[in-house]
Amino acid sequence: MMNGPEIEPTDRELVARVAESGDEDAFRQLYRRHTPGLFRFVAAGAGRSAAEDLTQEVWVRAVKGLRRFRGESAFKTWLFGIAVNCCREFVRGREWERRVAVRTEGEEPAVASQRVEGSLDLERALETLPPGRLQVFLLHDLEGYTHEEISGILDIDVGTSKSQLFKARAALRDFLGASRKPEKGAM
Amino acid sequence: MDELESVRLEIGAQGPPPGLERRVVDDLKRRRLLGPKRPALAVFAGAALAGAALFFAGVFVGKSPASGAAKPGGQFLLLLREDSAFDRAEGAAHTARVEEYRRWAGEISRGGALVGGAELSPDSRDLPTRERGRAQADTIAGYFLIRARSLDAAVQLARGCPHLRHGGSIEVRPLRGRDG
Repeated sequence: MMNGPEIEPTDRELVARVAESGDEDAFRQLYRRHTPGLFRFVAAGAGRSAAEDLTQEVWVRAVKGLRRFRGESAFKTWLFGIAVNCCREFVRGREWERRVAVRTEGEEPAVASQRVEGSLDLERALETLPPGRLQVFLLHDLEGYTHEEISGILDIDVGTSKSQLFKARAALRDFLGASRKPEKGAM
Repeated sequence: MDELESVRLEIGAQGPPPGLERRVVDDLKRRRLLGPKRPALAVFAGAALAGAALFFAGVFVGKSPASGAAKPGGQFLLLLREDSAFDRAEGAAHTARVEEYRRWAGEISRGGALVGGAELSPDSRDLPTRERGRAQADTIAGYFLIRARSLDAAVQLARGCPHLRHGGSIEVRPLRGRDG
């Protein structure tokens, strides 16, 4: 019996198995391959407290729509496209809640304060970025996508992706530089 | 260390909790998106067809008790169609709707008329390829396969299907060369 190296199935093979027969093992392989990056992206884009629910939602939408995955892009790219939409919807909903609460009670709602309270500089820094810039930053600097790939995921021009990244990096440097400087007179 | 590098490291350290995989898998199974696919003719299953909003669920029909005995007549396909006139239900009304379809399928199954049925997934492809997003005026949302003595008898059976009461329509088509 030959003991050759095991060949990992490609994403496309796994996707076909899940789509055609609901293969749980194939799904778990896809999950383990892509969830670390997906979770990082969602946690940074929508906040750590929402990351588990959103990651679950992304996978549900992905499996529901597997038959629509035509293989024109890599599965991971397609999956992150779904994640971007989930984060956008979530952030829109949170902004709406925040506005409604401010209007009705005249004070910041729990949904806003919860996020900032006790959070790291990092979370506050990410919150300062407009969603588009944040997504470009995460996809490029964290997940290693090229501007061409980001252009496909976010449906923006390559030039826009580049300028968004430049602005995001500058804004983060400014914010973190200012917030991490020791205050004058502090010990 | 560069500020951005520390951001990358902090974000990179965030990993999914170990219990999340089980939670996602369980959710997908509950939605019947994972796990063995049931043979289409063994069940008439499914909750609302997402997007098409047809309300069939959990009706196990299988081979009816009378299916072993050959009957004169033939088999007929009931194509359940819906368009914008279809009355979609949600929440408690949806649950009641599911029960209606379940009862009807159970009745005709006990009478030996039901061969099977299935929901149709909304994830369809057309050949030749149509433009994405093109509105479909009329959708086939599911079907029943029944046996009956004649086309008239099949139509009579189809009249009892709750789909009609909610604004859907049913096309009854005899299968060629299939005796009951």
